Amino acid sequence: MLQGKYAAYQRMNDIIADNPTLLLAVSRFGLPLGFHNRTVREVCEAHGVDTDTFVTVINFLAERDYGLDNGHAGLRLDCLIGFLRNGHRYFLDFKLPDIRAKLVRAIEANEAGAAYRDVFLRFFDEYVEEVDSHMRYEDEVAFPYVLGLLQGHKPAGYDVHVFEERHNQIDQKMLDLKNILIKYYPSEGNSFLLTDLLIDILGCGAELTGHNRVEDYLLIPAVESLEQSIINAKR
Amino acid sequence: MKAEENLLKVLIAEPSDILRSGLSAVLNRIPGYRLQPIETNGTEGLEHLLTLHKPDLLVVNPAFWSVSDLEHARALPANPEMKIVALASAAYSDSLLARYDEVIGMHDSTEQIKQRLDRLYAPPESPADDAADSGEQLSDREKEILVLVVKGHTNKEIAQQLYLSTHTVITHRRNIARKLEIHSTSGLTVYALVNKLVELEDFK
Repeated sequence: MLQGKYAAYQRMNDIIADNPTLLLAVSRFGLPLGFHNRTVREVCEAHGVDTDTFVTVINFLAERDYGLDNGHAGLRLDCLIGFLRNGHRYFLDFKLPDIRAKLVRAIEANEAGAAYRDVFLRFFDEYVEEVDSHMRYEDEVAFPYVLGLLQGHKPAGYDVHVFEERHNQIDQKMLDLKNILIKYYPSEGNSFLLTDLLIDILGCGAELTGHNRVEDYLLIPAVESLEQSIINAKR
Repeated sequence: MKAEENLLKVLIAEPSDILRSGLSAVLNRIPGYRLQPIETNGTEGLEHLLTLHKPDLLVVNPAFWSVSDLEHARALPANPEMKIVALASAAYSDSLLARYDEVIGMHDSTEQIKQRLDRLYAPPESPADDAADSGEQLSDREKEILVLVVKGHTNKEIAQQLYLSTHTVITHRRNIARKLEIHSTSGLTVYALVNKLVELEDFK
């Protein structure tokens, strides 16, 4: 388990008050609000979430710098994958459509901008398509592979490299969009809509980076050591 | 100033919590760099971490590392560009430290550490190039190429049309992406349109 600022005996409410950005992680673990004074452990147990996995992920997300030492030991991979799958749903079904709707509003609010609408949307939709195909691949190929490993199945020809190294490309398109809006978009006067959109985009970008890092630094090392233990057991 | 995407992964292998976290904090304060410190509390399992995470920079404490460890790390199938820096918490011989790409000392200021990074990562181009190339202003040739890219022409077509080599076109495209900090063609399209380099009708 990854030790850090937050521990299982603390009240869930206090942790969120201390670091509100963790709310998104809490919801992706499927923990509903209305915590009363319950501790992290109590809330997790009431909803069938593995406490150590939860604590590891929030400590990991709360730190800017990553400690790699045994952070993944004791992680429950099924629980972690549930968290990641919910993350995919959050981005694809909720946040990115929400940003798209705001993008349309912000563009149409500006008379000159209305002309660019289609080009902007094409760019945005291409980005979403890339995120979608990456996440769908993980949902359909990579995660089932890991869940199979948990049952002791290790299909020949597959290993942890089923996780593609495509995270950088996804981040890159998000940066393009951010740069266009911050550096080059001709906005005039009141740009609350545009600012609000941009804050959403930046927040979503940060969330996506965090999500990808959970995969790179927690999931993948944990899968590797699981593979190793299966190989060793067969010897 | 580094471009946004130039993230450097820095693996810090140091058993002392205070030194490790302290170095992370200092690295995050260096202007002009986007550094992602990754920490590990020792050199055990380092080989695996280097191949898995392929850091751009490895910082190790020579007290816990032999010369053969160092040579071994350089030979790993990790990041071929990886630099290895010593975090010298005590006095070491010059001949030992000379085997590292750089040395960070306990009493270095943030500015001195920045200078050491600059020595490792300063762009190789000559100052003259730099002056001509700085800023985001596209040259006329670059604008010309940008417009053709946005209209959907391939590098080869652009080369033929402008009597350039394909290689030159690619270099121009790379410079355009670097100056604007926009890398995808659809992103460049939005840029060109918003800045009136092309009209909507041009690529319908």
